[in-house]
Amino acid sequence: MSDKFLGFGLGLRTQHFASVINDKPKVDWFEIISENYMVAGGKPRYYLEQIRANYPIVMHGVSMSIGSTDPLNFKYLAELKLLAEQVQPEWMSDHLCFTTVGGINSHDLLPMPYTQESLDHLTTRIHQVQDFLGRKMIFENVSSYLTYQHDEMQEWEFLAQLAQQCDCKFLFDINNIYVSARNHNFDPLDYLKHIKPEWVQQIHLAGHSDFGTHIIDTHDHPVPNPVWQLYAEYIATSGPKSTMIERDDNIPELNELLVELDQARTIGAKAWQKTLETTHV
Amino acid sequence: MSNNKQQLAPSLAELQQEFMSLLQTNDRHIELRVIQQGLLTNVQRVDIYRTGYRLRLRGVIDSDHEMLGIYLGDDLYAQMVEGYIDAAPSQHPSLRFFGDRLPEYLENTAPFSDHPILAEMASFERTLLNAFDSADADTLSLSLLQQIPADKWPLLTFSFHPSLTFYECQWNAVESWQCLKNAEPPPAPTATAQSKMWAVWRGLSKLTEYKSMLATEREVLRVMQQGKNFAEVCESLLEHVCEEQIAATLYGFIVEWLQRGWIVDANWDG
Repeated sequence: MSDKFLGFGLGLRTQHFASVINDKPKVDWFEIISENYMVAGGKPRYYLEQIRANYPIVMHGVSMSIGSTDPLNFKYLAELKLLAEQVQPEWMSDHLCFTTVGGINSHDLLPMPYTQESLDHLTTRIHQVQDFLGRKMIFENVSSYLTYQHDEMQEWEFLAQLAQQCDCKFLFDINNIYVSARNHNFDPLDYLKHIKPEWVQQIHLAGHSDFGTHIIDTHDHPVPNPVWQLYAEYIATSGPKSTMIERDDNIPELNELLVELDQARTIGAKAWQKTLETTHV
Repeated sequence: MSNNKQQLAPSLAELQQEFMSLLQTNDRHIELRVIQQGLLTNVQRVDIYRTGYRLRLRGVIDSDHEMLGIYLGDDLYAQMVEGYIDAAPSQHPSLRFFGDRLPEYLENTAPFSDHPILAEMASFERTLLNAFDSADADTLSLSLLQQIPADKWPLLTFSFHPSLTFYECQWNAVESWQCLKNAEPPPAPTATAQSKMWAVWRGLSKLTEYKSMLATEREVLRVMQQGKNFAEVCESLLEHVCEEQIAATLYGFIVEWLQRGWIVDANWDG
């Protein structure tokens, strides 16, 4: 897996295909949802090929179901591997969660219990997947609305142990950490300070819907101030991390996302000025 | 953690099954597994997942079957979606395939099965979706016709674009779909004694296209897709077209197929 700092990217969405190809906007890299391109052909693959010629791509999956007790879906993994061979992404990610049970796909990122059993289960499966794909995976923290009574550790303790056991890295969704922190009443900085910066490969920034009593991780709003603040606090000590804006619904015009991306750049430049000057990244 | 709590703790597999039971059958057992904290009750916490599951799947049907939704109207559409989510849970990693069993559901489930046009309309929308992201292939242009030596025409065979499929229906499903697409009221459902044939394909602009087909053209395509050559196709047409018009009819078809991007390879070496 490449460790390089890619800069500031966007999630590639179909609504922006034409703008990205015709206008070549100032975006350092794009992240694709892998499953959207695991089709035989047609428009998505056609546009991706053209965009790939101009931008680095990372692949982000939603259906690996790495935490499920179902058998690994090797048909899916073979298709994912084939796509990776065609796209040649900088790296590939999925989520630390389960999505399938008994062969049924929830199409949701369901939270794992933070237990030793989960750790052992994930460790085995992550090794199997990495061996099959022939590359390291990175895994994203999911937002959650519940925690389990039989949890044996905090989420950040769970991640720290997993990083040490699996030699995998994390995609930190700062919004997801903020959402879970509000929903479960913990300090997001406690979370962040337990994860070594070298374990974090990439950062997602996104928005949510705040209902006062709880937050739903909708990824359909601009990045709100508390998430920007948390991002700034994290990267002040983490060093340069490839960062992107992830919008999954209510997709705005590309220009609107570029403004948000510039905001991330400004925060990053302030935090990483010295590092970037010395490493010329 | 107390021993008592350890005894009560579910295995990972049990917990995941309980979670899926919540999503699929609204079995609330998993509420007992959840830590009570803050302003949200456990009922509310698990409801977020249950509601999200159904909304997500409904969104897929909304997007894939927009015209069917308009045709049904809000109440029947909601009944269809809720029933389908329960009857045909997703078994594929991609939501793209969630609606694949919708035509079958409509065909076999009352009250929708009383109106066969519904299953046909759903099937047509699935056919359009399949053409949208089927495999790519370079297509041949009209200049092909100048490259074929005159004495080789009898040996000519074609390969067709992978997106080209044929859709057959008894009811006026496509005409109704088309009216709805144009924001016009659909005609009353009517069936014809002989089924109607439609070609569906992804055009040169990467957009999905469709057209009705006469029996003659469908027969020619059926024979050519079997790998039969021009001479054999001419022979098969003797039942449908008078002999002196066969070559011109076939030539006309081939010109149209090339213009639509249906032909991806031609061979006249035998």
